Amino acid sequence: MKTVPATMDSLAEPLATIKAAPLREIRAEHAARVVRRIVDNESLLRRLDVAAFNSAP
Amino acid sequence: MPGSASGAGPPISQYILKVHGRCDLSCDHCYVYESVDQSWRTKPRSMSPHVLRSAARRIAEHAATTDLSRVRVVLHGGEPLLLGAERMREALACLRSTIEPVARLDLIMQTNGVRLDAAMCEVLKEYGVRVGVSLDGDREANDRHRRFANGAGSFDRVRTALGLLRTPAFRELYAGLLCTIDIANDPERVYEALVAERPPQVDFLLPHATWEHPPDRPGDDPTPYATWLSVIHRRWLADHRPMRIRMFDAIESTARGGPSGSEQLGADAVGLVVIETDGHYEQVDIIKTAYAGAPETGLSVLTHTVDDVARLAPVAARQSGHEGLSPICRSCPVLRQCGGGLYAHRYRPETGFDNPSVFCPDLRVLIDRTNEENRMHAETAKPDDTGAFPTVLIEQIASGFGDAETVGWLAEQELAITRALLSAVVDQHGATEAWKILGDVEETSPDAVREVLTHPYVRPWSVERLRGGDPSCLGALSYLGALAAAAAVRAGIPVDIEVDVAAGVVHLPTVGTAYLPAGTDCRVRLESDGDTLRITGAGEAIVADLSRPTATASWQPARRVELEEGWTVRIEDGDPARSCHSWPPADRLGDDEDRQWRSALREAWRLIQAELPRYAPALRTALRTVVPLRADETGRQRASTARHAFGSVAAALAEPADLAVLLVHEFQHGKLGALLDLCDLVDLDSDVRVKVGWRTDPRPVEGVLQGVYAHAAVADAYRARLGRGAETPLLDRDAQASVPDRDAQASAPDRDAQASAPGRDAQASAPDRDAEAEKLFTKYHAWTVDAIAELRMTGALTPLGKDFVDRLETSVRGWGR
Repeated sequence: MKTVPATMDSLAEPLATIKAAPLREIRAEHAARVVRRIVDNESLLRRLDVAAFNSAP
Repeated sequence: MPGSASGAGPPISQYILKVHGRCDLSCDHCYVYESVDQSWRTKPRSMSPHVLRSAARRIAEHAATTDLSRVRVVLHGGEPLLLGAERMREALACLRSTIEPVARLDLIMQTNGVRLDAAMCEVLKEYGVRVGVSLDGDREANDRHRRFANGAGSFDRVRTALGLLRTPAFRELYAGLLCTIDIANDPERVYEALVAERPPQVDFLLPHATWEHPPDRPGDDPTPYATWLSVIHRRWLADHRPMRIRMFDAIESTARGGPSGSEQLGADAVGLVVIETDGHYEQVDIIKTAYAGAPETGLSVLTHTVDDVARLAPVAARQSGHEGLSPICRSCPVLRQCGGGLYAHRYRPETGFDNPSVFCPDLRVLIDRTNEENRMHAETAKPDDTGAFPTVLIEQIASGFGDAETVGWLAEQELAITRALLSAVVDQHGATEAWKILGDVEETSPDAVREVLTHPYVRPWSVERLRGGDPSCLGALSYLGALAAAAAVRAGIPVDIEVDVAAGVVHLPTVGTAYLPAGTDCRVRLESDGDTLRITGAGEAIVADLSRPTATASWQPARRVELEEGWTVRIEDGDPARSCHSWPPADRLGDDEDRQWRSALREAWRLIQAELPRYAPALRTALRTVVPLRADETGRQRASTARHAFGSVAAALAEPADLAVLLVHEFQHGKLGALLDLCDLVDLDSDVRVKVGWRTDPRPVEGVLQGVYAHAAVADAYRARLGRGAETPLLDRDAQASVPDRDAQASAPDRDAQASAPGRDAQASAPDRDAEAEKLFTKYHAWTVDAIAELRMTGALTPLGKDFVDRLETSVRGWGR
């Protein structure tokens, strides 16, 4: 199967690492990314609209 | 007061609302209190309700006059949490009620987090406020600057707040982390500390500096900030980018000619105004680091409109892109990626802001190096490490069909999703004996675990747990115990584990279901030596001979029906997790019902192969279970696809010809759902609603896409039956269509369609059936074509979504008559 590299705009990259890991070694941060997408319906599109203010109080 | 530009000025869509002017921390790197501008001393401690109402009215008024559809308000300070829960609630209610009638309102809060508690989170959740928290890294890094007035560090308090934001109840609030860079901190340790908090996004901020007060550059490294950030970039790539880092996203995007999405890089228009506690409008207040009074406009929400502010020359200049940059920047080869850096960093007393950033050398090196590292990463990484899409993925699925290889690839992604969700459940609730057993079985018999985890209802259960659903429904973590036991049984490995009885049964996915005496509500013990399964603790022991799958009153082995040599589908009537469908599932099947289902499925599969062979490979590859639903009392058809149960279709028993169409139709939702898990075909934030032929109520864009995809297959099915009237009776799919809603656990029944009478007419003559097929084809085809046209006009399709719809339309138009 011919493939193209995944980008941050898809879930393929964390899924690739999850597939390769035994269940007990799945990293929490990769699982968290899947949870945000699947459970919380997080958009994978980058919000590149200068939306958030770049400054901490 | 700054001078005015000519004209109306570009619209302002983003507002920084200083709801509280004081802070409970005394960070020595804060621009509000530690910069040359000390105007905070003369301003009110907090924003009064009168000023807040005025601000909200001004924002709404400006949105109306400039026709803005969306406005973003960032609650800021000082420390916004000092407002307290009740005043916060009043402020948020005022903002929502005043602005939302005019424009969609996104509310964000940037906080130090130390006062974030459950009561405040409830208020923020009620009003849909997403929360960004400031954290500078590990304890040493964070407490280097982020300290209380008494010198104590804030690290522990912030981490407690972040723990709260990771709970199921408040996870939706968690927007990300904001980390101010100090090159004295170890970048690897900072990165690891941030990753450990599992943020959706991280922003790194370069420290405040100007040409008058340049940044600290110890040692011989001429670009230490680039060096520091590159360490993190390389680590982030090696870790497969576990969260978004806005600075790196910006560099990647601008390298492809896209926007930066960041004030720090690129030259995107910055339509932003600060509203101070006293109601005065200010420019981006980070330029307080330049000189006293730098952000002042002299205008106030009490006396001036936002239109007046937008006309001010400095505010308008921030929206002029590259044209507003210094000559040095305009001649730079990385101009489009750098954009002059953060506005405040350009300040020099002699020339104001008409300069490159004081971080110019670092930005140049960082951009060049990041571009190169991204290129190398894309070229050298193995597809299995970084994830890779089949080149034909969109083409295959958008055609309406999907070959076995492509759908098999999708099924692998679905399995990985389920594994991730299970892991997250354990991470959230704590590891159990069941998790240990599952891991142990996987070490020796990975195929057994794989088979169990591909059971379609593992994911719905996991999602429910991660959403904090009622644990009494399916046992808190007992399902995990059942999975472990099922995997061990399949592997022939002895197992001994306790699980809770759920809904009167103990279900071992892919193995079978134990039916306990009515009203049983307790823990039972599952023991297997590989040959038999014993269930004890609820009356008489249940013993199942695993080598001979024989049904008894208390034990039902998984029901498998072979539809084709080497391919069996389970008729799932035992798993309590199957109740995620939109209609109630049928109870345990009787012998007659079992026979009827087997017969109907075999005949339906024969019809699919004969009439709709292009849909067969996908079904054969990924359909694993069929869930019998309770029949409708009036005889209408029922069918459903649950959003999280890839590989399963639920239906009330139907005639084989009907069941064939139904399986094809519903599985379309499954294929598209799997694709939508992986990428965005539509803008999930879109509020657009579309009128479609198959519903009376306007539908969200993703629902329309689902409807189009599934109805296209129905049109195709009737097209296939034209001229075959004598062979195949017809069913009006109007009577059974379901239209899944991405937000819903289960597909919502198409109520309009339910209202229509079932169209199946077994007594009709062959010519009549042909005429009916023609009529139904025409209807579904028209619905599909019309809805595709409507989808195009929404503006809510992503580039990938447009490609998908184009390809689907090519298929559908090819069927036109």
